[in-house]
Amino acid sequence: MTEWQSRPDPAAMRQMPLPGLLRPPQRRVLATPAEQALERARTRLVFFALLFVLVFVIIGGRLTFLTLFNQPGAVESEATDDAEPTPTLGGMGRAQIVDRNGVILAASLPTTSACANVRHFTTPNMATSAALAIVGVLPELDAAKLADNFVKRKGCVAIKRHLTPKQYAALNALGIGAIEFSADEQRRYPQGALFSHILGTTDIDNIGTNGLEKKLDTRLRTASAPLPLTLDVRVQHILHHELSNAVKDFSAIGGAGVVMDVQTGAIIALVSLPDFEPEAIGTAPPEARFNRATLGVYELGSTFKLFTAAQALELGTITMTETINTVDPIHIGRHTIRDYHPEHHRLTLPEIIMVSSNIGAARIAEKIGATRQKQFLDSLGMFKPPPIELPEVGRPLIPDNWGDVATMTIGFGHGIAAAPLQLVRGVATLSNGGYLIKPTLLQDEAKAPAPDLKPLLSKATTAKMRAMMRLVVMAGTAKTANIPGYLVGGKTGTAEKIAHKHYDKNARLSSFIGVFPLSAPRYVVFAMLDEPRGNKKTYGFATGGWVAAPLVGRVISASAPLLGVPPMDSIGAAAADSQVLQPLGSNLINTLVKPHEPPEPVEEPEELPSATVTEDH
Amino acid sequence: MTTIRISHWLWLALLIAASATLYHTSYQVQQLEQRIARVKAQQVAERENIHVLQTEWAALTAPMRLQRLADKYLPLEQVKVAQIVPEHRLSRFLPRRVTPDAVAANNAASQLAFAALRGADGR
Repeated sequence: MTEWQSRPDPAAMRQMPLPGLLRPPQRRVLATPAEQALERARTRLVFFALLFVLVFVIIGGRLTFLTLFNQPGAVESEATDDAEPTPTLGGMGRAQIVDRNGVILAASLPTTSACANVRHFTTPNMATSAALAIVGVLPELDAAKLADNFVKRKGCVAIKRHLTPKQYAALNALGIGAIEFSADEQRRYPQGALFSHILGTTDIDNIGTNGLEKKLDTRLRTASAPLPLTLDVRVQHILHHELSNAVKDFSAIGGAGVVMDVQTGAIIALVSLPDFEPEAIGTAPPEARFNRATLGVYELGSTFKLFTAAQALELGTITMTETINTVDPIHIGRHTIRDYHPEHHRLTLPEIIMVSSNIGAARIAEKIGATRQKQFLDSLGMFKPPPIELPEVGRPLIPDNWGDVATMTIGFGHGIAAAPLQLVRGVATLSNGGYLIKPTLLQDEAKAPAPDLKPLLSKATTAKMRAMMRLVVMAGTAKTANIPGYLVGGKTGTAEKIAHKHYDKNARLSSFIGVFPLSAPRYVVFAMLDEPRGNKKTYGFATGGWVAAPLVGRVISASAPLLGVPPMDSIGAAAADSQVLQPLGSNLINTLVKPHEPPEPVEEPEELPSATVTEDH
Repeated sequence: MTTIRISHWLWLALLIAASATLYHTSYQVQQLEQRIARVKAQQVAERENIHVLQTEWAALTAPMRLQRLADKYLPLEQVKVAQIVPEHRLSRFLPRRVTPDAVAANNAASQLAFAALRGADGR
């Protein structure tokens, strides 16, 4: 309640002198200098009081605002709260790849990378001595080149990416101020070479360069959730193990194998040999980087007879009991079509498949005709690269001039070259009721055929095909694949490779494609050896029945329990067999199957001695 | 005048109390947030560790490696198809059911055997 505040006269207030410097000197009308000074002091007091109030209001307001609304860290924590905690880290950009059971196949691990900030090197001498010290720790680097880079380049010059923890510690211990470290990540493949052809690799900047890593690069970089594949690490190993043993045993130059679910197209295992360590792909020779299962196209030989038989049955060109002249070789143009093991009497279709008669298959193909054969193989996807999530897929080779000769040779699998995966897909179609499914490596894509999908073949035809495939394994060329309890069926293929424009009798592709259990087909298993040589165990033979069929048998017996297919006991298997073979007719069963069947004693596995279990003390 | 003074004091006290509470709360919140940040950083580090360890585990249990080790150190063989028994016949291959009597009898027998061994040693 100071005096100036209660001054009553507004008119007098208007007369008040303006504060400070603004007041023009000529308007000084107050009487005494003391009064003037007092007036000035009052004005200044008001001015400063207002100033203080203003400043405090600002400070108070800001404080309140900061306290209540804008706490340090609040923004950041809200942002991280929104994001779901991911299995991989903020820094771990590239998603993991896992198998069907969640086993890690590829993962990005944190590493450290080092560079040298060359601004710290004031003289070239400093750069040279630093380079020498660095090479002392990382002997794989070149000191002269490094020093040169330090002098010539600007900014932070890269020393080495992806240091091991030991290298990082040693480099850090050098105490060179110019060296800067940054968090980095590196792709790791804990299964080694096992999945090399499927997963592919990434470059030093973690960009996919081949395989799934390339095809699904965007998915792996943008979504952090692990990518589940249809593969099973255990089955993949079984196939890889058996195939590499066979490649070694038969001195083959390579091999390929596939295990696929015939209902969903899910690829359980896919192997191509030779393969490579993904972390050392740079040193792998080109043939090791070549995927024989999807990129390589081969004349697959007799396995194609299955398609000829299926189409002929579907069209009604031939019946199961009709016989065909397979005694005389076919002379057409400059070509002669012969059989590997000529039979000296006419054969029915099941027998043609069972003994793998080229003449028989050619004669049936002739009856079908080029146009219809072409159309059927096209509908099976044989004219396009296999539809799979890999960049390495091979375009099939089809004859330019699909005349009579081509029709006949294609009838037994020569004159057309396709990737093994296409054969696998085709045989899946023959065994799953005629549905052309799409092979896939991704768990999300593997589903049963859509209900509106039209089967390519009738139920009757596929039942007959299953019977014939079973016949091949029970009494034909692939008896070595007959694993008791699993009702394996299939077809062998032995194709001569073309060398210098002629088929080479000693350079073969020996393969077997099997399906099990034939009573209700679940999986198709394919194995192929490239240029196998017969050995003592096979009496020098290197055909599909000798080298590939036993391999597939071993793969099935080891992996079926893992895939949830229990073996049938001998009684159940016999019942299922007679049902599968039924389309052959009792005549053929009696003449073809029965003589080969060993008298099968119904044997129970020996009972284990029962023991009394006690608690451990 | 006095009433005004009293109310002034009251307001002042209230103001001080309110601001004290406010700042105390604010400080607490700050501390908690720092803790959250610390825990989150720890979480990130742990997750990174788990990630590395999982990958290492996958490498250590890789079937190729296990096969190599098993071939070297274990006398195991491939399971034969005949060794796989359907569930409904499993009971035939299982040990007899453990009864308390059987356990007691077994214990008594092992004690006797143990005593005999001791006697033999003592002699």
